[in-house]
Amino acid sequence: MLRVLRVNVSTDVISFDPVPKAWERVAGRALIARVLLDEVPPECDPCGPHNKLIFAPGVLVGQMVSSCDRLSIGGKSPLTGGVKESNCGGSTGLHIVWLGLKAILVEGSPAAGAALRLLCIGPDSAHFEECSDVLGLGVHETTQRLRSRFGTKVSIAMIGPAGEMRLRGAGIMHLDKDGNPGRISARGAMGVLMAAKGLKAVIIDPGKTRRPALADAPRHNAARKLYVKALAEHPQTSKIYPEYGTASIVDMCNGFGAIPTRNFSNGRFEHAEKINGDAFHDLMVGRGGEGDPTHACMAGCTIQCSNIYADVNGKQIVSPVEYETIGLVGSNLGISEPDMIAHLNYQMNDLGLDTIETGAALGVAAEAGLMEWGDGLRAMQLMEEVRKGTALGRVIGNGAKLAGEVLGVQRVPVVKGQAISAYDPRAIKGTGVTYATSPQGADHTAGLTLRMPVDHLKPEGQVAASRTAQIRMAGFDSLGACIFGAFGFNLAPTTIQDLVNGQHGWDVGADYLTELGKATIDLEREFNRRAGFTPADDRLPEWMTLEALAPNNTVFDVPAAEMDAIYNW
Amino acid sequence: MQSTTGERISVTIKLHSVLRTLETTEPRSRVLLELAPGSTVATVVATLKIPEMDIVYVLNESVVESNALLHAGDTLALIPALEGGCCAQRVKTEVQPINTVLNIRRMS
Repeated sequence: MLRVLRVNVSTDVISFDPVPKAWERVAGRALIARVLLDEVPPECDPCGPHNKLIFAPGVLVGQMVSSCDRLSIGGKSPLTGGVKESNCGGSTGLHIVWLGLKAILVEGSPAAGAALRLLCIGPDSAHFEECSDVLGLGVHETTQRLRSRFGTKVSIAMIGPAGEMRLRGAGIMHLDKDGNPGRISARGAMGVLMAAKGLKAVIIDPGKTRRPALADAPRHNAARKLYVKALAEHPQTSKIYPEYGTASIVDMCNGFGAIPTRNFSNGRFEHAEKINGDAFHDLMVGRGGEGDPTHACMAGCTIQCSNIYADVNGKQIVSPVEYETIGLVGSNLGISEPDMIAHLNYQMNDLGLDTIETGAALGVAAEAGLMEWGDGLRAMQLMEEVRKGTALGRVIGNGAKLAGEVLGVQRVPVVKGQAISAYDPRAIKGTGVTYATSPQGADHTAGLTLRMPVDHLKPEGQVAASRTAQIRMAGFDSLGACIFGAFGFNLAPTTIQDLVNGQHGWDVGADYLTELGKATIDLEREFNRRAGFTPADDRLPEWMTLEALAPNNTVFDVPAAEMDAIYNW
Repeated sequence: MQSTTGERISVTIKLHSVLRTLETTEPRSRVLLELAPGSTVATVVATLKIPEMDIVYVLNESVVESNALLHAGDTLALIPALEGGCCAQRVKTEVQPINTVLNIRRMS
């Protein structure tokens, strides 16, 4: 029987509680929205005692089914002021379920001035420990020390210096299956929320626990086989993602004229072929050593879209390099050297920063004249400013919105205070609808429409495309499934319900994913409504409706009235 | 109707990701094709024996469909599509009761 671990950092009372009935059949992103509505005052200070830091593995997590062990971390966002679910791979979610936990809720506020601590969770136990030896350290050194202290079998969710400074670009870093802290709950300043709860890291020690027993093993195992077979047969999940990863999206977005270039002032980057999937692939293969274009972030994942990027000597620089980082830290800054992008990625990881938010903030800083376009060394210096905690560093580390306000820049790519991802909404308008309307703020993972059968440059059909994508994504985030797993689920459509029912003994039907997605969004919108959000918040920045984007010379022109009706299902 | 009369046209084909190693072990990023007048993007796909997959076609500076006509001196990029899986299969969007299975009450 699963339990909820409640950790009160005001009183240090820790309890393993039964799962409330209303929460039994929700998990992941849906559970975060449910907990927020049930237990968090929507108008509360995100960094105050009434907000909660929520760890919620998805419905399918715990069985090591390919791509289905993802963790949702959420709360009221210190960045957007609204509902937030930040999704990650790695091993943290898997081990939480192995410990028999439905969710971890961190509540209250530590005493003023108290040092950050560790929350250590094992089988049937949890306690705090001091951690003065890792305070102020980067994520990589912190990882080494904590693995040395707690062993190499544990999962770690931690913040870096950016989180400790409560910079709103800060996420929560996690270990991948190899113990490398390369996975991040990046979006929405969850690292700030963790710091506000007085935690430097959460240590999850699975001990001798393993996968929970299945309710209907034959049904689950048959569905797993069918699903994995389908993944192996789809060209995207059997060939393109494993060999080239998400970096291959560079060519597509550049072709569509939608790759962010020089602070979203152009949709086509003249050096795209220097930073595309082919370039990264050839460098990883050609340099040999630790570099590898095929890498799994979660144990049991057969897609393996992650990578390990190495330098000229074959020594790992960072793992992984993803499309969104290439877009925001590469073309968006005019940087065309893969090594420089990888080094900046490493620095941001080490600081515990979201590369999307930070890349967007650097783009704003460049527009303000704080760096020349393409000057990667200057970008590295600015990251050093963040590490030192200088006033300038704190401006950039707090994300694009604050950077724009402080530096007097009007072209700031944010919605609800959160930076737009690497798909310019003037050239992929359906994704623009997602950015505008999603309760999560601007986020491609809330509903990407890149291959929807619509003309991306016209306003017609974009709301329907975004609605479909948003429902689907909210469903997958609640399942704990990577959206790339959709290729397998689509070829074997009954497998979702068979996996769910086989794991839990439920009786969900064929519409489960759709129902789950819609219900999740309904809950999130209600929390935002109670927090004071209105339709006026569901808009792209005005300059994107006025300033035409080259080379297609289009503005964002999806009618507001259509967007306001997107959730009328 | 494709015309096969007249001088053949020369078109540069840019191949990306998995298409670079199609029928070759050494990656090739560019291929120069001599095609009959009236050839289209589909002609190129057939000529190069591209397997069935989702491909984005960028002709010179624009995304086009497979029926786009090619001209001498054109550059055509064949980009195997990637996406997050959101649109791999449309989900039902008609009104359905928000579900009792989940114990979630629809908020107004």
